Amino acid sequence: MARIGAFEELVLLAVLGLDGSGYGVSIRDELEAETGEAISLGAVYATLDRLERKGLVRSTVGPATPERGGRRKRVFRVSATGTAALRAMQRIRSQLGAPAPART
Amino acid sequence: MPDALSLVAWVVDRDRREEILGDLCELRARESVAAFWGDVVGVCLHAPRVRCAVGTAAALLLLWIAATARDTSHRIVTARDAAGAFVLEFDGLRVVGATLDGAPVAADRLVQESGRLVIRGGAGTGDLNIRLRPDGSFYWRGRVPLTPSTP
Repeated sequence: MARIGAFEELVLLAVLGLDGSGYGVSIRDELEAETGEAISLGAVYATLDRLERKGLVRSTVGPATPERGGRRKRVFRVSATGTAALRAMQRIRSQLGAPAPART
Repeated sequence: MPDALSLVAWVVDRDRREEILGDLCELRARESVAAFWGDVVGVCLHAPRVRCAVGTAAALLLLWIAATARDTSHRIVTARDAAGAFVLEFDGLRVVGATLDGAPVAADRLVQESGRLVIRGGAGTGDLNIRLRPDGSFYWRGRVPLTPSTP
């Protein structure tokens, strides 16, 4: 399983939540809304690139829109590997947070 | 005022240019000027080309510092070898004074050149050879006590 960092996990979760419509700006907006912190757009791009190289997200290029000056979006979707990585992280978190079994 | 999108277009990878410029175009319409320029700077700083250049510059700077930095502290170090205790007084990387077995060593018995220090032995001992490293550490080959020859 590919190892993911804390910010990578947040970005993956944001991409997952946007259900195939996430692109740079909307992913950053989602992260800022959920964390309440300012997030660098550059950091989001760099993380998305890394996640794509690891095979955890896949991207496709959408149609051009006028509000973007005729430029196309790159929209991201979490891959099966990415979903597995998120599940693994959740499992690790729940195991780490669970109380230790009593020793006899 | 420089054109932010031209700057970003020059900095970012060609295969990511269109989507990043489109995103910034969208943001320019809804953000304040300061916030927009914050995004422009953030995108530029995270661009692989800039990160590579900054990383190279930082590595070169560290190498230059490592090559030119010198320890300028004053310290006195006590050590011991087979012939007894000795004390070295450092001024940075240079030894400015020494004692052998509690007796001060005359300046003409301290021979120091390019990372090597020889303290000429007194009566009853050989020379003390010390290798000085640029990082301030030093290593020595212990003096050999001279035994009087037996008839």
